[in-house]
Amino acid sequence: MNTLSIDLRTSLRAAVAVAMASGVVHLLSLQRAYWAIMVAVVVLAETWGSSIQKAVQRVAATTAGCIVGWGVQRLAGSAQWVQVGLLLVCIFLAIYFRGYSYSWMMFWITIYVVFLFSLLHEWSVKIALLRLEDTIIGGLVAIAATFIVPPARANQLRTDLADLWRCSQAQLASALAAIVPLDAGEKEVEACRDNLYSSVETLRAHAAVAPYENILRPLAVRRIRVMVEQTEALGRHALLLAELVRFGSPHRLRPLGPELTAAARAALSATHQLASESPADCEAEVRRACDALEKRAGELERSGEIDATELLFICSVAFHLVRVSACVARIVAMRRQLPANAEIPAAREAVVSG
Amino acid sequence: MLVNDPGFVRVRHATRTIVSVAISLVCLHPLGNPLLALFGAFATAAFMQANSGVTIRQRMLVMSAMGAGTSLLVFAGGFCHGHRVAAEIFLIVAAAICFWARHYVPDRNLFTLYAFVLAVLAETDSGPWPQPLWIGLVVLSGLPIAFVVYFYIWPPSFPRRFAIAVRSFLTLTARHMNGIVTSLERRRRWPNNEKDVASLRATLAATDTLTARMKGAAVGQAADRVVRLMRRVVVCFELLEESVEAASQRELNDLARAVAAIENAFREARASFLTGPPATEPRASASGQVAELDPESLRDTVAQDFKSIPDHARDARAAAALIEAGLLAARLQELRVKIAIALRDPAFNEAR
Repeated sequence: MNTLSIDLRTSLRAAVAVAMASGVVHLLSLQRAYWAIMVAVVVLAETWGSSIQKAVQRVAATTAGCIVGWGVQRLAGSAQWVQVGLLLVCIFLAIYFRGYSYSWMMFWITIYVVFLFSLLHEWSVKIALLRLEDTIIGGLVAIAATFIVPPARANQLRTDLADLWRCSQAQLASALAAIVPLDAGEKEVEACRDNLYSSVETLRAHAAVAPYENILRPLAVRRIRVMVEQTEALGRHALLLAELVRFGSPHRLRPLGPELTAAARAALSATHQLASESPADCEAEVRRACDALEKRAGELERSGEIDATELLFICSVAFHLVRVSACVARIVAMRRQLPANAEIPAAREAVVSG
Repeated sequence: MLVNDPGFVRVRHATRTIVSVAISLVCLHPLGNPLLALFGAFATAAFMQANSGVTIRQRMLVMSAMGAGTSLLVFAGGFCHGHRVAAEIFLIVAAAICFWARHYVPDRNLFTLYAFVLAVLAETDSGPWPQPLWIGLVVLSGLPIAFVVYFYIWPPSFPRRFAIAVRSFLTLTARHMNGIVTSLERRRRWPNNEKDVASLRATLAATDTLTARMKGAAVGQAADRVVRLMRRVVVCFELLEESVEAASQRELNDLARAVAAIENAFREARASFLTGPPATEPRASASGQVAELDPESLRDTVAQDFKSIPDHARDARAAAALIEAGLLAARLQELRVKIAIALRDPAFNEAR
């Protein structure tokens, strides 16, 4: 969906939110109708999850701001210069947190409102309760408006996860191809590597909205969180293997050829389970292959056929391959337990191209 | 602040906003009408946020459009005061316009919603004619104040702020490496990375937000390169977490010489993050400059120490993890050199 249609839909949703909020405030004869109308519009966001997240944060920050603001206002007394000074401090902090934390920005804005009303000699507990009530009504209206004019489902996490799976798989294949005879698409490795670095870092940020997108499915949220953690770990192990093989000496590893190839193939076939509609359990197979590899490396080191450097290299490779397969097994298990419409990529989206 | 606002961009902008709000309050005070003064101050603060765009010209255009549009909207809102149906139709249209206007904002920032908030307040608090006109005019008065403060009195320099933010990131990285060195030295234990990595991530994210303000320009490309390298630094620390944390104290005690070598490697890497990258000539420590780390010699040191332990098989995983740590220390130093090269763009040190 392009930005034009997103903005058109959001405009329409905002208009619907105002119409609904106006109706509600007249129906309930709210004293300060404009608060509810304002909240109904400003908490609207591009996705369903972001709108709920903003509404929840706004209500929580308003509650905290009213309580703290009331306390500070009582301590500050009625001196006008103190109140003006605190007003400016609140504006400063609200601007400081703008674009960084919506909750903190709203918290300081609420304290600002407390002092504004205090300056106008209108502040009372009743005003605080009214503001809280109107904020809740506004938030509910905004959520209702997103039902009437539904926004696009957030697909950032879905895209990120699928990208990371593909890149991890390609990165792993190319890393292993440097030490054992395997086919790996060299062309996309560098791009994938760059993508892996940035995706591993940004994935968590995009996952932050997932709990709100799946707000009615708390179990799914927990499973998605595990998937995100395991996907990050998978990417990191693939990257570390890629760094390691730069210093590996394939010719010195020749005595370990069959065991190393078996372990590499088992690990690669484990990562293919990410793209499989009916994944098999490959973790045990990778463990077995890696155990055999480490055992053989130990024997060869004792007999002097390979050096301690090679033994330690093999030890690292085996450790990361086992971890990769464990991550894949966990991801596959979580995906199997998730409902089909949860915000995660399907197996076919994780197929490596080329 | 070093973590969440590494270039001090937000603290400077908040201060700039407070200055312009104070100027607005002083200018409108003689009117003797607190409501008008509040409208003027709020509008000034809102216009100060309307600064999206890459070039100064673009930012000027955005702020002017926001100022003119908001004044019109506020005037219309005030005009609708007391007419229920007109007011409701106005608010519906105003909300749609404010969201739609975002389409024309370079970074799709939602500061256009401040115009809606001001319009709602005008519709609620305005009185009979000529009050709507007065409100519209005081809101418009915020534009020249914000414009002069933002573009002429205290203009922001994003490339310069970016360079400062990167330096803050490097300082934090060095501090984190210091934690690793101290922990290995005193307790023979790998420190818990999680908190430090989280703060590095936050600093990186805050620095990354500045690149959007330079997109399209040559300096923007250099900034993008720097951010990519910074990402790699963060991931290096995460990789360390994956590999070395599992090594037990007993294993690290067995591998005392290897641990000392890795500790030293991180000390060197830390020095390069604090004082600048190592000299281009390899291993230049004799001249007093930071030495360039050699991952292969680090690996060999660990391997030799490992080999010298009689029953060494049980320490294999820990030794392998130490080799990985040495490799990553060298990688971090390499990244530091690349960051220094990318930061050589003179625009990062210019005033504007």
